[in-house]
Amino acid sequence: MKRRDFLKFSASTALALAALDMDKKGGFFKAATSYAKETGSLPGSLGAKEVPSVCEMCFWRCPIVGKVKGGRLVKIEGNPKSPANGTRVCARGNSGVQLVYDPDRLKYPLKRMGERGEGKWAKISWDEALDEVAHNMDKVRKKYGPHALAYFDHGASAEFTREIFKALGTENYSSEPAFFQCVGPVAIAYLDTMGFVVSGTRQYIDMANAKAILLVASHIGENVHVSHVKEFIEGLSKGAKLVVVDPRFSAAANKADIYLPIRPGTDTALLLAWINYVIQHGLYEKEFVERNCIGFDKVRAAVKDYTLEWAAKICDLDVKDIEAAIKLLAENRPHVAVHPGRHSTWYGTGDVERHHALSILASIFGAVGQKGGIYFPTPVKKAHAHCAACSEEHEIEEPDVSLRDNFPFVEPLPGTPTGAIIEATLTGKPYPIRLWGINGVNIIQTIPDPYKTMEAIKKLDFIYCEEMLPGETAIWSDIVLPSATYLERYDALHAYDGLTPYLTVRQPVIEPPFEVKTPYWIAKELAKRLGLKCFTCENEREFIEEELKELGHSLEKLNQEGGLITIKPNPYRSPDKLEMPTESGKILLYVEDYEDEDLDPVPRFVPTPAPPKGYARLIYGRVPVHTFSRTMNNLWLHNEWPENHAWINDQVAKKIGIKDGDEIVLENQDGRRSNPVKAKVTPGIRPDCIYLPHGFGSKSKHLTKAYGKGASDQFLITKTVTDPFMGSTSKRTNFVRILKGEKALEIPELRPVPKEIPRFELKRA
Amino acid sequence: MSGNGDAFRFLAHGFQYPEEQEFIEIGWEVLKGLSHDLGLPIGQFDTSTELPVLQTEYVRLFINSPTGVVAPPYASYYISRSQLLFQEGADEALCFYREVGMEPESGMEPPDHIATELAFVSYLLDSGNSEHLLRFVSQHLMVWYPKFLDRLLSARPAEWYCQLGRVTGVMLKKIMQEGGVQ
Repeated sequence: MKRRDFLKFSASTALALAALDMDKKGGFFKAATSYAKETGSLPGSLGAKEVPSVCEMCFWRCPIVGKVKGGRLVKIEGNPKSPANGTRVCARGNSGVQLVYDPDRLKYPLKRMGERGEGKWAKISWDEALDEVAHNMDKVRKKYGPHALAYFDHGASAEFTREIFKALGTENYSSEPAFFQCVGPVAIAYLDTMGFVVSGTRQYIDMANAKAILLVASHIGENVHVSHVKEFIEGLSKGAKLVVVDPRFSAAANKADIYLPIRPGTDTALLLAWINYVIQHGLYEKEFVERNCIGFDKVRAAVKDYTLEWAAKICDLDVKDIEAAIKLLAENRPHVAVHPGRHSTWYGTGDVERHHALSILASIFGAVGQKGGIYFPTPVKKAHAHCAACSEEHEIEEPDVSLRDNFPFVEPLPGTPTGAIIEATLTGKPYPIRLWGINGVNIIQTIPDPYKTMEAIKKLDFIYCEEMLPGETAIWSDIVLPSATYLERYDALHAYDGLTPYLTVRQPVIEPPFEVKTPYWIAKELAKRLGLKCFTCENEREFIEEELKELGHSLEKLNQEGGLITIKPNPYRSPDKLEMPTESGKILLYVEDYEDEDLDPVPRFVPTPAPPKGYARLIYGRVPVHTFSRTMNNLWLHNEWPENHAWINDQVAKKIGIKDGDEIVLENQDGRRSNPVKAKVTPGIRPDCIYLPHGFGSKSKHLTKAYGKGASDQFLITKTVTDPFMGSTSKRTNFVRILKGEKALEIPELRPVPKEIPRFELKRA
Repeated sequence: MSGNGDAFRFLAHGFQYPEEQEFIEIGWEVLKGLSHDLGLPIGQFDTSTELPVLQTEYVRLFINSPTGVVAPPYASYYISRSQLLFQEGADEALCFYREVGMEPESGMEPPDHIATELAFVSYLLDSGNSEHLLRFVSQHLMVWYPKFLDRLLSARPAEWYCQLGRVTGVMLKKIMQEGGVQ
């Protein structure tokens, strides 16, 4: 190749090119600073630099080590220093590599160009994006008052911006689906009875040392939280007996000594009958109860009519099995892990009661503060950095009518119920909500009745989100801010206060690519534009150093020690000196505060309506390789589990002519239909339920791999019941029938419903 | 500088996010001229098309789009088996740049963006480093460019991107022919 100008252009081409001054345009290259090929010659992750950090593929936060070669993340492993997960991470933890380098990830700030929901964008600068967000926040606040701003949040990435919404004075500075669509009822039940959140982000339940374990509809093993699963398996391997109550033969049920395939919606009936049986047969820890519990006699009186025979009928179980199960649990007291549960927003009414009943059962077994029972978190001292929030304490002035007013027990926890925000946005009552900020949560795939959520979004003056991938939230936003993944940022110090406490820190394994920014930077820039004195540190490092300083540490020192410091645990107490963190220092079996609000001070069984004729109840769960809809576009995880299946009872399937693998559509009681989904015909589910693993069936075409794969349970959940304690929304109050082709197939009722349980009434067209 | 270098610099800028109406208007004249010179047919493009329309199209094609990124403009996506960004394709491009003492200006953008790679071609043409140019084009750029172009064209892009893609493809082939590579 000899000629420099081997292509000869015509005069007109040359003229047009000259008009563009191409010869003066540069800006692509600079002199190299490095000549070496940094990746080296060792294969795979050998010879890689190791950076300790904390996983966020789900929200369990396992300590990890990121392996980096030539500036590129090549592998993720568990941090060997971690006493919780050790070198282990789950499939999702491994797949963080895919998240970072996903060609579909958000790369630049985007501005909506078409209609909301259409997904047409232009790329804009950070200045323009942040100016636009700040301008709209200020405008809406001035025009409609501070409460017109609402913030939906989840995870560590959302924490800084929450401070901005707080500083702007809105009572709606947080609305976490993680609470109102997940742990809300269980968190409240234990807070009000035991004085601490036995189950929220963590479950303080000592399964590793239990002699018997009770799980009521648990996803454990299907929803993998590594150390939690490890503790469960450790307990079983040491011989713990296992009782599983679940309408579906789950992964945990597969390990059970006694499996009770209960009629959905009747768990509290079973628990109350068990409590009664334990009391009547003297199978409780008398001294423990006398010393540590308040309200035992009231409980005894309240449950006296709940017999095992009655429960067997209500729950559709064999009375011998439920008696054997409670005997098995009682024999092993006090070393019984009565698992508090986690996802608890099932039926709206009765959710807090169900977990209250579990709390009573654990307490009368004396299984609190004892090996194998509910244990106490070990407080991990953590200094407060001045610049991780806003420097002045901003008072939030309550509105005349608050969205929290109807929910007497939401008080101790931050946040407004998601349902209340959506309702106010739609109706303008009790006050208008005109701007939503969304951070780290797919509100369309998480909050029940997404159709209503979409209608509410259309009413807003402005909506923006901070996200990593272009899920549904992004396509509905006016401005999309691309946020750093957990592998590209610092977060506040992470203190684990479970059985094996430690202190560690999430820190960037690699630099954020493209124009992606960290949540701290975004919050800082936003605060600046809004004239707020927040986030005064130069960067995240500065406040982490401040947090560490008081502990006599520094980031450098922490990293020299492998990025993690272990702390001596203090989980158990003498049964003589329990000292619960309640006002009285005792467990409240009977909650007087509930009575004051006309709620049941001792749980009472209130049946949830049974499926209408021809329908089955829609239940849902998780698969171990996905975190909700967040990971569906992840190539490795998608490859492992690309679509979900609808579980249908084998006898039902036979009667209506459905075969395993048939493509069906589910239609709910309101006529809403799912994407086509394959049937999984199995005896492992009751005939009155259909089960869908959650997170599939994405409606965002932007997620190339996930779009339209499988069916979304979420889009079938249009009927909700609001919990009266704290405003969470039910997710198991919907019913489906099957469409094959265009033909509607009625689900036969193979397990007759007793007259004590009312039936859901279909709206007739 | 060389005339051919200018032409590739133009193509490189054409694959960057459009921000000047004038560049598009005059650029279309350049594309018409180049197409004519190369014997390529050319379609209709309304140069009064407003910039935001072309920007939206750019985002759809190359950044985030309703059916997934139509044509990720990065070597890595096509060269790496995992179809991820910042993988072997990016390393390869960086090696070619570093061999002649260069590095991309922006550290946080992948080094294997089509615009950067075309700018590198123009740099090598200007500096007369034809041996390196031929290696870069035949062993790297043309390994992935045809796959990228296929994806781009199959998404029925705006005429500007259609023609830009085609002209670039032919010009790269000409480099190979000139160097005696099939």
